[in-house]
Amino acid sequence: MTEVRQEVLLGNEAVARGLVEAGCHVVASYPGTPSSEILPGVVRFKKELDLNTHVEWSINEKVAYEVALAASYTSKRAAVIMKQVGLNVAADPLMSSAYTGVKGGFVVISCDDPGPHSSQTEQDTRFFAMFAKVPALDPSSPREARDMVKAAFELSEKYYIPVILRPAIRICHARQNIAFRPVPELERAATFEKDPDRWAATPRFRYVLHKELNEKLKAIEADFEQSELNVRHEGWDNRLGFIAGGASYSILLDTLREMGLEGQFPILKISTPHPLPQQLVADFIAGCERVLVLEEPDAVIELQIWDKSKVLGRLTGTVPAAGELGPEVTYRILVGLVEELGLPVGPYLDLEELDKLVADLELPVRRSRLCAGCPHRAAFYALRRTLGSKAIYPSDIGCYTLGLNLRAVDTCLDMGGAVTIASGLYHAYHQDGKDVVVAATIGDSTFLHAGIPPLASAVHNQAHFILAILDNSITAMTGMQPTADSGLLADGRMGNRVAIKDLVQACGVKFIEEMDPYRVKDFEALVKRARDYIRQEDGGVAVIISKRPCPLYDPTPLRENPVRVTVTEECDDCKYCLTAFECPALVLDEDLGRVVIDRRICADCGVCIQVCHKGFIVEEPLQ
Amino acid sequence: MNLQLILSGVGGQGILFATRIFSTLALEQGYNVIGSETHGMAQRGGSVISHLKIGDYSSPLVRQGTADLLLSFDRDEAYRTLGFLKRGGLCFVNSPKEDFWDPSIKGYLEKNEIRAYSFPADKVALALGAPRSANLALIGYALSVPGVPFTYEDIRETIVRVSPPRFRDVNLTAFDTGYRGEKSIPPKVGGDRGGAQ
Repeated sequence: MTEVRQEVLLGNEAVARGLVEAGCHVVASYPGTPSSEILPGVVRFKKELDLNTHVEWSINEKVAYEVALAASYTSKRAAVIMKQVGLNVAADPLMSSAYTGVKGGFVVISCDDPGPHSSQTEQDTRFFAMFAKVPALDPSSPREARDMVKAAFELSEKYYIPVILRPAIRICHARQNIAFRPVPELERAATFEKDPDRWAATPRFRYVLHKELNEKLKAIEADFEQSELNVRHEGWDNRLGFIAGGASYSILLDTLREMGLEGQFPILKISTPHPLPQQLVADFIAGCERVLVLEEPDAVIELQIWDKSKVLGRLTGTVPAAGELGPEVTYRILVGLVEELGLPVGPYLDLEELDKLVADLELPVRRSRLCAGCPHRAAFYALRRTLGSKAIYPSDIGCYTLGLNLRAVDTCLDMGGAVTIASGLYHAYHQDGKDVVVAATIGDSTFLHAGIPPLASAVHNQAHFILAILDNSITAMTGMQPTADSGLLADGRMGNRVAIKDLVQACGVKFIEEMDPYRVKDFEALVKRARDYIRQEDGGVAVIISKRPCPLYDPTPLRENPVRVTVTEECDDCKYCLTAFECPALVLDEDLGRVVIDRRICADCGVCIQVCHKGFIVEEPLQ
Repeated sequence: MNLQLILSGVGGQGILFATRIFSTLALEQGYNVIGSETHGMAQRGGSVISHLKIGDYSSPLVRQGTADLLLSFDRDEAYRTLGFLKRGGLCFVNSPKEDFWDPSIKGYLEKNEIRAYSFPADKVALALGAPRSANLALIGYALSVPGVPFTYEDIRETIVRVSPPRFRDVNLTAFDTGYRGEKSIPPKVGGDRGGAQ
């Protein structure tokens, strides 16, 4: 007997395992919390099992979507992975491919972030499934997420349709023990069968395809009525019933058990939120006096229910309309409903009392900030110091959004938004005859993702602003995924390098300079030159490439050339370094009445020496 | 066994590694494990909290007021996550001062029969020349107190297996020192940048 290998997997690794166990041939992704660990998981299994899977970090989600989709055209199994807002970027091919359909199984994995914890919106991917008219599956645990990948491929191949798998953050970042299943060898030679009425359909044929899509959806709904993915738990008290899916379902189960109500109320678990199996849901509701719908982040199941007269949920205000539906919120809702039924609710701790006591302690707020040694901090410091508070600082999505703390980030809209907002701000002021200094910041990966067309457009339309591309050689925020500029591929091999500098040049930018931001004074001088350039009538966009690797990604430069700093006893506690530079390794020692270095986190970058104009931060004398 | 644990602190304190020790051991003992961790923006110096549920559970999150055990690697985070503990729960906090709780919170602990212990794990680890092994010192200390349903031997064995080779010895030393409850160690000459992951 072969031993079943079991491992505690992150939800995202479980999805990766599901992909290899489904024999998926092509996997493309762009990183974004909470989805980032899925592709590296596939790489891990590919290496361990010596698989021939094509894996790639594409330059953005639209590209990833289309690369994977094309593999499906050739009858292979393919998947594209992204975070929920990434699907906005890939919305164009999603909508169109729903009509054209697919050939080999094609699964769109889009990870939601109720909360939100690490996103600009709490948008619900399941709405995209409704919008595009494609089915969506919603796992309630890592183990189920692994299993659903296979179900998604089978559904996709049965109806030749893209299938969305929507794990939410509490599934992606949950850990659970999972027994591995064998990885099959799925032979699928690439075969693209020409069918222009489908793959190159003109509007006349699109109408035909739309009708076909509607038929597919009807058939899929009929399948979902019988699907084992949806589970009905009976209960002996039908005064209340629950319809729940995803993490909300798991949280409901644990909460009911903790309340001693396991088995009391009927529960309908919906893992197929779109298309909703209407008959299954209607039958369930008919057997209950009232039904609470628990789902997140939005009311996708609830909105689809035909007869809502007995339904409680977000639309009735029973469930909050924003924020995560965690165990505490679920518990509060349940306590309210259970008390209405006249049932006893067990004793619970007075957490409100504790919350108040803790609030009275006025603990220091622990806000997220750039790491010690972060090159972005040095760049922001120089920008802000040179351009002051009158300049406007559009920024973008990444670690460097935390430049907020250094007051060098004024806007953060979406991927690539720094460049377009800078351009729009310039024109809005310029037409009034007032020219403000606009200094935008964007990371290397974000620039490659969505900054190139905005830059070309800004140059073409004669915008004047400074664009600092914060090139730390890596996609740091999401866990160190390589960029096209580095040339590294998803599986660690070397590909072709696409240099940011060359791209900037090709966009028509005339002012391009690279600088190590650790050289604060030189960087400040460069910012001044850039400002002078954008103020010239014949100036334009000035691009500064701030170049220094993320020390978490590549610690070698600092290890080889450490600058060990110390604060002299003369430090007069003026707090300038604490507010203007905000390095977590600079801490105020209340007892000493001066700033000290937190040796546990100091990265030995030495940049703060250039920040203390009084000269109280110095290189530690050699002993 | 049904056990709910919360591990809290700030990024860089090895909370995920500490969680892994418990989950690996529980799995080996034949239990199901499920839990949840912090990623992304929240990791940049923000609070980090790890949930671990061992036994028959469906959801990865521990509800406030229900945890059996809280291990906090930071005093402020201990205050912030104290609400996770159930009545009669057990709590271990990394703190240089033994009796650090604010009097108002002490009242809460007593009223709810929460047993709270503190141990200067940072200090101990720093003295060992391995500041980043504080997580293991605190775990070691916790195992010396009755009520944690794991044995010293089993956890030690697990540390051996899950530690990367170059950190194994220093991790074990920190763990053992914590277990013996030794709070002051003669300072070791040289580096203060050792580490454990």
